Amino acid sequence: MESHGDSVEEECEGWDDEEYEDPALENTPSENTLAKIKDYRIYTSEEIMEKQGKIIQNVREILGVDEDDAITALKHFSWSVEQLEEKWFSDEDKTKYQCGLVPDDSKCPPPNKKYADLCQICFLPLKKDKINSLKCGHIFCRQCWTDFFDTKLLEGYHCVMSKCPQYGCPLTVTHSIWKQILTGKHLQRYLKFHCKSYTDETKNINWCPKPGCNFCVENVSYVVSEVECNCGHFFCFKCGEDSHRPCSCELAKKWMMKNKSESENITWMIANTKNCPKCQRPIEKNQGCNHMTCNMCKHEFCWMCMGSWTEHGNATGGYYKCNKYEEMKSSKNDLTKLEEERDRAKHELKKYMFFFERYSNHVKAGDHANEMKPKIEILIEKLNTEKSYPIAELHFLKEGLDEVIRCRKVLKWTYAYGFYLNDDKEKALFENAQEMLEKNADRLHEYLEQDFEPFLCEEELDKKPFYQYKSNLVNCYKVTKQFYTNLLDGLERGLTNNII
Amino acid sequence: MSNSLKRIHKELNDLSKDPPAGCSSGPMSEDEEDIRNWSAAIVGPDESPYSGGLFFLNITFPPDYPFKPPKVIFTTKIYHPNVNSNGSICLDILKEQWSPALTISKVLLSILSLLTDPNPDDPLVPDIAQLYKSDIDKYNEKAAEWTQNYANPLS
Repeated sequence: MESHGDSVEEECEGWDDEEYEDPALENTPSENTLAKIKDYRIYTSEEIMEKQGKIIQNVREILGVDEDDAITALKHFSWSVEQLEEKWFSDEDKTKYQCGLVPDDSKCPPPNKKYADLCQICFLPLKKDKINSLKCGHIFCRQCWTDFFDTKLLEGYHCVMSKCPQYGCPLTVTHSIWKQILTGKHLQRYLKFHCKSYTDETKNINWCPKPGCNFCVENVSYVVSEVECNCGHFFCFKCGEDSHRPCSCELAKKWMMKNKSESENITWMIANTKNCPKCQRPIEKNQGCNHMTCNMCKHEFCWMCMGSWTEHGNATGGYYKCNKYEEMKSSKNDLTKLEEERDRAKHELKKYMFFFERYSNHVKAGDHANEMKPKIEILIEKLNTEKSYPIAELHFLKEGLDEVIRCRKVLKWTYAYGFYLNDDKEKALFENAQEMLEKNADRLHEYLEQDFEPFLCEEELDKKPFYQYKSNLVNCYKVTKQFYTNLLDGLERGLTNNII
Repeated sequence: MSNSLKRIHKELNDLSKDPPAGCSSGPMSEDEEDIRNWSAAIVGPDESPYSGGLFFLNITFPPDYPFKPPKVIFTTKIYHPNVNSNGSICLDILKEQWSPALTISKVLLSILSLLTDPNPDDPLVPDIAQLYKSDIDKYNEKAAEWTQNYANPLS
């Protein structure tokens, strides 16, 4: 992968009018740090089924078995050809039995002659053309097979492991029986589960979690955690959530939990309320003097020392000052401990609010940027049709916006990262990198939000202002991108060890 | 009639023709709509401390019966490591080992054999299982006492 990063400075200074024609961004597709170590492949559902088919074919050849047996055995070994081979060649009979390839007449004999012409589920006489049977000889009518499969299909993809409906029979229902019995939607559902049994059991293959997306991703080396699906969705390969670079899955989860959890309310309660000394109900004091009357039990007390108000009066300092409290405070008792705890909670809450506010600002800004996408499309269209700028020269607008969206995503997570980061010298480096990216992403965002009417105005024939605008934006884009790379590289290579 | 109901009728028919030893069962009411709710009675096996007792059970057939197992609970109190105070029974064929080829008749026979041979290694009531393992005489005594108190057909 080529990196445009090295040339940023030079471009910043050397950009002038003659170079307008240079399609600055057109040849640099979305490359960032992730692309440098891009080590994953994206498959359509057809492609992944083809891949699965190849594995089955391979096992058929190695073990010398038919397709049904190969599939059943692979399912049993979670699609690990290696494990299957190892067990198979060390004890073929035992492995066959474990996989459910051979019947066990001692435990589950075929039905005796008296019942041989009855379906073993509905106990109705079998019509000759409706018999389907596995190697075990247990016979069921087509209708009962269908109902059996329909019930199993509701249980999720593990249904592909279903055993023969006869009680105690160890045989696994074969792929061809499923296909023979089911039709239409139900068959489609089975085939999806058949594929899913392969993808879900294979650790380095995951489906894109975006609803309705039918791509799946194979993470070849399992090094990268963030992947970009062909549908445009960025997600974390490890946890399946939206991409949360530079935070680890654990950290991201912890942060999300924190945002949701009731425990923040508890922190707020500790910071801002005291319990009524009589009935223990929490009370928030938002204004007024120290003379409190509990709403619930009508107990009157002093907010400062928590003693009964009857002991208070002018002698103890009046309504706004409590001498008793001052005394107690100097004597270092339980009261000061409680105070300290309250201060700590207050401080903690303040810190959280600081980070959360900034986190959610980037979430909102990211949403705004996403909403701008159609507007930018329309603008490009207009600039092309009304002002006849070549389409190739207008790509920068879209790429600029994509970069803003990418930055917002990373920036929001830097606040979760920062919240958990310990105070040390690396923190200063991190904050600097964060600040630089934030500043530049904001600037880029501003460029894209500006009023484009002047460029579209009919009377405006001079294209210079537009190219000047483009040059500014492109420079800003490049600088931003460089900071984006620096931040992620820095954090993912060095700083990450410092947090829990 | 749905296949599920046909199968329930078929079982009812077979049971009346050839009832298994030591148990009887059938719908709670004559009402056709209530055909999925049965009651059953089993006689405590001779070689067990439940001998002489008569135990009642409720059976409910789910709409997707026989592809899903019937729900079976004791309505008579019983001192047994695999039956709790709500009457729930811990029996593999009523859960993950269920097969649509099984019938109520086979389920009742399995429950009978569970009375003779409890399964203390997969207990629903750990205290009873503990006693069964450590002091079988005491367990037998207690089970017989409960049978006498709660499952006595003469009282």
